[in-house]
Parts: sequence; C-alpha cells; structure tokens
Amino acid sequence: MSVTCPAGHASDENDYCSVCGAVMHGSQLLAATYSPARAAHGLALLRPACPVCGEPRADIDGRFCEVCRYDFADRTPGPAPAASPQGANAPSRSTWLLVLTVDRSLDTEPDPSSPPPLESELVFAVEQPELLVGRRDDKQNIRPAIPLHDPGASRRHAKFLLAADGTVSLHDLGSTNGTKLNGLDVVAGSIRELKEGDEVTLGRWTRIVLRARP
Amino acid sequence: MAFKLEAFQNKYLAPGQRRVDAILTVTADAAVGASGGGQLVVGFVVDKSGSMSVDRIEAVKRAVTAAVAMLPDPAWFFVVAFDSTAQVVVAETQATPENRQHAARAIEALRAGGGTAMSTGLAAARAIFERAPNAIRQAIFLTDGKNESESAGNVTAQLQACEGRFECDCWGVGTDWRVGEVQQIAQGLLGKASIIPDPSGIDDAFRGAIEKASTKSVRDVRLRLWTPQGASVAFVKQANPTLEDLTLRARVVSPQVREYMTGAWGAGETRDFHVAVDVRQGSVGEEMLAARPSLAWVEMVDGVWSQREDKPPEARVFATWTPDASLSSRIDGHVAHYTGQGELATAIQRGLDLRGQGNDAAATQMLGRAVKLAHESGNAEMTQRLAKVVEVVDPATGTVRLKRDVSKAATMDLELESRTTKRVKKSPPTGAGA
Repeated sequence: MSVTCPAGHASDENDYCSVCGAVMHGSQLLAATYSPARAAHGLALLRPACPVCGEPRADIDGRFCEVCRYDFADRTPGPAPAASPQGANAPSRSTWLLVLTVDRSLDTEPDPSSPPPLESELVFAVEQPELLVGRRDDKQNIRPAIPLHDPGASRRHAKFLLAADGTVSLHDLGSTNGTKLNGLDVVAGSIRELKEGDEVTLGRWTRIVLRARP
Repeated sequence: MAFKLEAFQNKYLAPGQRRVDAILTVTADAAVGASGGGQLVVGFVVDKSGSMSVDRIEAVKRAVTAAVAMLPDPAWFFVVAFDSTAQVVVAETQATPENRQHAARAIEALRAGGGTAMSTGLAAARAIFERAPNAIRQAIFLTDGKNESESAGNVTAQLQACEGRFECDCWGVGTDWRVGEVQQIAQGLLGKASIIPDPSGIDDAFRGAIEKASTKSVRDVRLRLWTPQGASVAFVKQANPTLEDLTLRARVVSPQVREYMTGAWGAGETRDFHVAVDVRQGSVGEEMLAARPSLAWVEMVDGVWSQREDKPPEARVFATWTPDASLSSRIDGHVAHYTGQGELATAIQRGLDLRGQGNDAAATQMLGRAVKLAHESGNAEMTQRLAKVVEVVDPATGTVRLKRDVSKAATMDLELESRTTKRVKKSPPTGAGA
C-alpha cells in the first residue's frame, strides 16, 4: 500500500512522505485507503484508519488492526513484519523452513586444524524467491542468505528457489565438490524439486533439511 | 516494543538554515531478547610477551580462571594468548564444570615470553568468533606493552576484518603501553579501553567485564536513519555512555536509509546518540520530517533468526522554518549538553597533547577550559580526574595550575576517560522537542 504525498511521491509511510519528508494530510490518507474493493465496504472509510498501515478499523470495538496488528488500546504497533508490507493479501509467513546442522559424521577426513563450527542448528525461513547457500566472502562481496562455515563448500554453492506456487527447489550452481540430495549426487547445475523431509548435504559437514513450518 | 526511542531537538530553523540537530535516547526494555537473542561467547585475548613476566602473567592467569568460573552455565568461552604470534590456549567450549577445570589447567601452564604483535591475537579471536555468527560475541583484551613486533598497519587491517564480527573491551596493565594503540582496538570494536595501574586490579576488571557481558540479551543492534531526498547526514555520534563518531561506519540499507552498528544490548540499557542532518532549504511555514530513526536487531522468533525493527513515532526528527528568531535561535538542552561534553573531551585531549609537547602556557589554558566545562555540566567524575593532573584554583572560571609530579597512570586514565560523558540531568532547561 502506498500513499501519495502533496508533492506527488508514492510514500510507504502515512504520516510524513517516505521520499521527501513532507507532511501527509488527512485527504491523502483517505484517498490511500480508498480502493474499489474497499468501496464495497461503504462506511468502512468513515471509520478511523490504523495509524500504522492505514487499514480502516474493521470493528470499532476490535482492539487490533486486522492487517498489521496495531494495538488501538495501547497505541503500539503490531509485531514487526518479516517483509515490507507490499500487499495485504501476500502470505505473511512462509510455510517452509530450512534446518541447517553441522553433522560431524559427514566429515570423512577430519582435519583438526579446521574443526566444525560450534553452532549446532540454524533455521532459515524460505521467504524469498532465491536463497543463496555458500561461504561468505567479503572481498568478493558474496554474502549468502544461508552462510556456511564449511571449507568444503563453494562460495556460491547452491540456491533454494521458492516458486510462486509455494514449492521449493534445489539449484546446484556447479559447485566444486558437488551437492547430494538424500545421499545421492545431483547433476551439477540441475534444479530438483524438494519435498518435506528432503535432506541436502554438501561441503564437509553441512546438512540442510526442508521442513514444513509447524 | 523492545526498544524505546525518543528524540530531543529544537525543530525550528531560521530561513536559509539547513542543519537539524537531535539527541536520540534509546532504551532497551526489560523484555528485550527474551525470546532468544543469542548464546554468549566470551573470548579472552591476553598478552603473554616477555614483559608480562612474572607478576602480571600470574595475575592474568588467576583473573581469567576466576572470570571463567563466573560465566553463566550455557555461555561459551575461549582463551587466546599472544606474543609475536598467537596461540589458542583454550579452544571454544561451553562453560560446564569439566570444561572450566580443563581450561584452568591449560591456563595454568601459560608462561610469559616473546614480543608483542596484537593483530595476531585479534586474528585468532576472529577465527573463533566467525564460527559463532549467531552468538553474542564479546572479547576481553589485555596487554601491557607497545605493539613492537609488527607494523601499525597490521592492526588497522585486522580491525577492519574484525569489525562487526565481535565486540572488544581492552585493558592495559601498568603504564608502558600506548593509549592510542589500545584505544584504537577498543574503538574499532565498539568497546572501551581502560587502564589497570597495578596487576592486582586485573581480577576486578575481568569480573566487571563478565558481569557486563552477562547482561547482554540481544545482538547486532543497529541504529537506522531515514533521511528525506536531498538531505545528507552530517554526522552520527554515540553521545553516551562514551563519545564515538559512527558517521564513517554507516552501512547503506537503501538510498535513503543508513544504519550504524551499535553491538549487543542488555535489558534496561540506555544510550544517547547525536545526529545532525542537513536538509534541503525549506520555505517559511513549511514542516518536514528531517529524519526517521529506527532500531533494527536480530532475534529468535518462533525458532527462526529474524530481523526486527522498532520505528516509534516519538523518535521522529522534524524541521520547521520560522521567521521568529526567538524560536529558531534556541538550542535544545540535550543537544547543548552533549555538544559541551564533546568540547570537554577535545579540551582534555588537546590539553594533554600540549603538555606533552612542553607548551605549558597553552596546556594550562586548555585544561582550564576542560575544568570549567566539566564543572558546568556537573561531570564530577571528570573534575576529579582532572584534579589529579592540574591544581584547580577556581572551577567556575577555569583557573588552574599544572601540577608538577603527575603520575603517568593518572594522565593515561584521564586521556582514556575523556570520552566518557555524563548523561543529561533530569528536566533540561529547554526541551523544545517534537
């Protein structure tokens, strides 16, 4: 949802323009909350809008904003959104998690000078269309969304892809040491659709399991 | 809300004026990080060079062992000792009773010898901290000498690599080390540098450090600043508890948003920041938002590490142009206070420099100004520290005489603490806030 400021900028904020800082007036607020779909609600526009997201207050006695969970009683915003509020009908939470574990048993040639990291388990939500997996390298400006502390992994090792229909796939990026899906090597550069419980192993000790969010 | 942000400013500008100053007071509430901010990992990085022999290294060994014993159970720790190279005395391990005992034996076996290359200790610590990216990462650094076994460039380069990877508080034992070298490490890693004149004080210093680290409950907290199109950020400084210029550490989030790393925070912790923004010129009567500060951090939510952000309306910084000079010429009490604390720090540092150069007349004048500023702002701690270096005749006018036999430790302490500021007293004289 964006609001138009007096200078004509599309603003993400409804108090002061998120581009030029100009004061937003009530008229702009009202215009912003107007849409053909909402016009069907008719009188909804006359109800006080949520000061955070501009959503008309659905029920005058309801304590929380239906969109952003703003608390009308305490006047505090709702929980921080995972992403910018692009649209009220976008799914607010992804249904998939990637669980990253360091599994020493995968390490066939343990090297005492570079032991596995002490982190036991990390969980990443699949919320972006692409999640890069690999070793972080500041010099080359490679900062994977899922950073690995695994010398056997490539800097750009693989990607997890989230399709519009919600399915998750594994895309090996032609990594040096390869990627395994459920214990079997995947063809370098291939894309494989994943299902709940699929295990991806790579590098010396990295195991990533796809889980549905509980 | 996990963080409370509040701006103090005078929003009125005279026509043609562009600079907007504000003090942001940020307080972490009692529940911050309650759902999981990260495991605490404490790294001890201690000097074992020849000069540490025998009293100092023994005191360090006792202090590290005692500090390890104090760690909360789920915390992790490690010990790195360096001379001209670094050795990992205790690799990262959880603070269980067995591991503490094992560590105590390894620490006991430590012997002093060799040169001093501080960057090696930092590099060894970084390698370990990098394996714990989701932890609250705190290093405790101790040295007693000059960084003689390597070029200064090594430390500068290593600090760049370490920035954002861990925080580091630093201590120098005795008076044979250089304030600038140790302070560079502390400032580069969001920490504080202090002096321990006598080895017997190491124990207390490390105890304090562990107590402080144990309070931290949320990590990678960043002050974010949105500014309108056409505006530029003149500076962003931490103003309290210590003065730190953060301007050059900005990370660009988006074309109009910059963020400044402030490290780990504990529940109830408060810090003040001074931001100055140059906005485009506005016309009389116009009101605009000059900055929208927010606070971003990382926290475990439903078992997932998540980026969080608090952007309370109380933190907004405004600009309004008015022809009324009685409004625009007022300086907000908070802004004036911290501007004064900055001048105090500069006066102390310049005064000590001048005294070191033998320019007694100019040093007397500069340190006199420092005494006056400390007195006016009610900074009694700084007045006491200054009184160890100068004889205060009249604090109100800043009349002082240089003392003859000043201890080197008192001078170093004054220099190190010159950046420590006093908070604004309650109900500042002009609170022309938003």
